[in-house]
Amino acid sequence: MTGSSLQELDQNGAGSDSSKSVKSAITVSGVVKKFGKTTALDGLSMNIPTGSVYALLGRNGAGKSTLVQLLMAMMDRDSGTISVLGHDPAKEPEALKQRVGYIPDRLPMYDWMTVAEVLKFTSAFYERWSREEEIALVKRFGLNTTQKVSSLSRGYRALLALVIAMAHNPDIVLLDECTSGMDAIARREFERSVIEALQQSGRTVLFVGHQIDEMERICDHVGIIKDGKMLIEMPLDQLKDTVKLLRITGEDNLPTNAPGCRVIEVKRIGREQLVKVELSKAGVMPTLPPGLMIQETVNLSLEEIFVALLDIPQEAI
Amino acid sequence: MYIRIDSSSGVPIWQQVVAQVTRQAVSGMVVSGDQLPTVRELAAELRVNPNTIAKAYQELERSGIVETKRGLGTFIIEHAGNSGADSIESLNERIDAAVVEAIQMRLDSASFVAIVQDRMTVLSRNGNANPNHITKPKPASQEIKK
Repeated sequence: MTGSSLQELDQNGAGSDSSKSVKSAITVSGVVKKFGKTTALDGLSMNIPTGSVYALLGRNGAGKSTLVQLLMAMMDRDSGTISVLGHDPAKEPEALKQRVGYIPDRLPMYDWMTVAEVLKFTSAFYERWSREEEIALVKRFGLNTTQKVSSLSRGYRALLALVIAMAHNPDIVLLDECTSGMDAIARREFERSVIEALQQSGRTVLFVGHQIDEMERICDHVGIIKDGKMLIEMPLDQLKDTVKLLRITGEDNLPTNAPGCRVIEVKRIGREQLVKVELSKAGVMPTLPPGLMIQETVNLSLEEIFVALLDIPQEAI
Repeated sequence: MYIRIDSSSGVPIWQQVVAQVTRQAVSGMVVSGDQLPTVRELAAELRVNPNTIAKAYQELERSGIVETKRGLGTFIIEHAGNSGADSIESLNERIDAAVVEAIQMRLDSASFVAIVQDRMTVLSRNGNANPNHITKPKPASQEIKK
């Protein structure tokens, strides 16, 4: 029930309106992927507009990693369609990889090589590799090119991966949980570099991960996956105008079927009730029965929205 | 210009930027002609999406706090301090918080008003903010916010 109301909402939302005018960098439609009896992706659809910074969120096991592996042509889907910059990963994996900079969570690298050797080795695979860009990035990140990869810290390894991902001038950068395990300073430097990198016009960034605070700062589009399906997908601003906390006064509880919203959770504190709602139309308040009044509309952080949408909703009291 | 983002507050980041720049302009912490960092600089500094900063600057421009001079940058405008229905509403929220505190402290309304007047004198003395602008709000563009 939750899923269907969200999908309706998504179809009515501005997200799909604008997607018609904006070109898509990645489109995924009805993709299914099974591992034995387990269904990892269950008809998942996703649309990432060109030039957007897209946060892909979901709980562990929701299907994020499977989706990333399909996008990066690391395995094949069972059914559905995928287009990455017009390429089908199942058919044109090489063409696709030339245009996508991929930074995985665990960075498999040639530990015995030095930084310079890794860069030289990797550059051979990419037609669009820019030596100038590589040198500029290495300098900015303060990487020591004579250092062995095995002796790099977690943060520097990620920065090296970022150099590799950016130096071939990709149209899409895919960051897969790559800041997990980084200390605060390394993460700041990394985020700053990503921001600077994405200021190059038209570049699309796909962020996959659990650092929701960080994603709220950087991303402008959000997709939340649940049980192998897209639960909700829309611009961040619109999502923040859609899921709200209302402070309502009055004797009765807000009925769960109040027109204009879906009630996620009701908490009563004295004469007040705190109600988390998902509005049918972003920014439009629900119609309240007589006797109830909205005192305040509270903004929720992306993390609070994530929890509200994915936590099993408490029964309205 | 000092801007600090709190991504767990729930308030959209562009609104946080707008509120902080407006506050600094109205209170005279920044004055007419002061230059704002570029969108790129501020985005990198705050580690925020550049489009978010661009949106905040557009909003500040529409509400008459800053102006963008082509090729030169974004600057605080003289006599910054505009107010429309939206800002009155947000002002009310903050006044409410202060009033509640005043009641708890058992201040009577005359003493409270005196404090407000005092603060207004102090803040407008610091910079270019003209109290007339604050007390006589002009109707401003209301189509800005949904």
